[in-house]
Amino acid sequence: MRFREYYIESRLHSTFLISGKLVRFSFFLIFIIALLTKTENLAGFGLYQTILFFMTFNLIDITSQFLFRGAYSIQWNINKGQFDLSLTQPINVLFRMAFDIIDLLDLATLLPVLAVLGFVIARLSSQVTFSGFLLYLLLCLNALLIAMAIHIFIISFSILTQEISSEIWIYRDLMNMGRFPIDIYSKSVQMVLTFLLPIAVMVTFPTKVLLGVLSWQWIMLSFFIGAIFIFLSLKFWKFALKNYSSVSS
Amino acid sequence: MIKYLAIARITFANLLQYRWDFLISQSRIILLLITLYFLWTQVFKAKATLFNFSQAQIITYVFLASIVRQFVLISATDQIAQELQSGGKFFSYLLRPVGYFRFWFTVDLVYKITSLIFIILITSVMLNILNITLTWPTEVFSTLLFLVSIFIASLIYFYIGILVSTTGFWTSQVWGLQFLVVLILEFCAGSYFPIDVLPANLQSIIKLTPFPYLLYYPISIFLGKLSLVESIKVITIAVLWLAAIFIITKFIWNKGLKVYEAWGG
Repeated sequence: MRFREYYIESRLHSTFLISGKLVRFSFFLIFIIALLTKTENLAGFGLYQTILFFMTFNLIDITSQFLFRGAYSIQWNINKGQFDLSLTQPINVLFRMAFDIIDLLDLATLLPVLAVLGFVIARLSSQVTFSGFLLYLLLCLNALLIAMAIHIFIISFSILTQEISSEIWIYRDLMNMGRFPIDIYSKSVQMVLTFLLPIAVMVTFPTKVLLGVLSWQWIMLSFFIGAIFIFLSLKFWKFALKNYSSVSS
Repeated sequence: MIKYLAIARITFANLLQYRWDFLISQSRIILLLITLYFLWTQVFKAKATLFNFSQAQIITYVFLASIVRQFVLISATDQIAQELQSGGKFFSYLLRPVGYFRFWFTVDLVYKITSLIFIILITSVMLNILNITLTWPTEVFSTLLFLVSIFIASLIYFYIGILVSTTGFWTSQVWGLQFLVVLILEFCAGSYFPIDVLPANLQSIIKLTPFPYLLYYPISIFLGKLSLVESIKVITIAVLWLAAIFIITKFIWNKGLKVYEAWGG
């Protein structure tokens, strides 16, 4: 695994990037607080509950960016022949491509998220049980598995098409839909975000289980969706590898 | 004039070089629009008016902000910083028979017009699918002053873009600054929500900056939230901001030119 040496060396650049991420986080947090102060609830959820959804979104989103930043440079790796070189080396290529870069800047932005998350969970302590908290952690892990599966799909697709930028940004935009509970969307959009592009499983369900409002059937289904996504992504990865033809010089 | 038309033609051809990527980048706004539409629809289930907006006004704000954003907040000026840092590329412009700012203004205009056409198509389809009727201005002056304010806003953003890129004269670490400025600017301009939503003291601070003149005030004029006198006052302040940013940009640009070293081929 490589750290983002450039970011570490360029302190000014890193400071601006972290500040930018914190500005975005702060503005959305202020927006939610201002909105919920006036409306009192959003799709049946109160202020701290809505903030909990937002914090869980940040937790999953930032952690997956922290871990899978390597997927963003797959096109470069393919075009420059780095991918070809990896194929000849005695290391799992998928592991190398997905986890090649660890983005420490994301780790830095994770700290305030964890602080606010801890504060919100403490404020909601009357609704949070120990088993609920354990299931929350498990569903967050499940969410990271789904995020990994999606990144594997994207890497595989890039190997087939030699392009990356579009797909990763579609995923990021979809993920942003999880800033708020999926209950705000229409039934058809909810179905898509649960079964087809499981952003709800990744963000809304962990939060709901912590609040004690998710049935065991949905919990089981979440793990099942996670397993299916990992299985299919690995199948697609193998398919992409079989059909890969080198494009670098 | 002909040479700038040629620049426009080449820019357009370059834009469409990777059509799939271009189409996706233009369509990304759809998911944001869906989120904001359902969010505000949910919020207005319990309230008739909120932050001095009716549901129809806020939905109009969301869609109009997306359209205006694709025109005002689209710029190619971030590439200037890269050119200042990439061995000798900027130097080659100094030898060409084109004004450097005019060259980038032409490129910007192509980016803006192309994006505008796409966003109008996308929002039209979405408005039809979601069965939404936008709130239109009742006064003719609102439409005219809205268009004027959009034009000034585009120029303000153009010079802000160049101003940020001028840091490329002194450092290679420009991208982080550009990222930070764009994020602050998008929120303070009212890209995602009207700044009326924010706490009063934060609103007061934001209104002291040029950022609300990029989206928030033009859309407020369109929605009829400002009277004729208020609209003219807003446009006058926007022009003053434009003049101030232009002077600062020119001053720093000239300072940068003196320290510029053309290394590389």
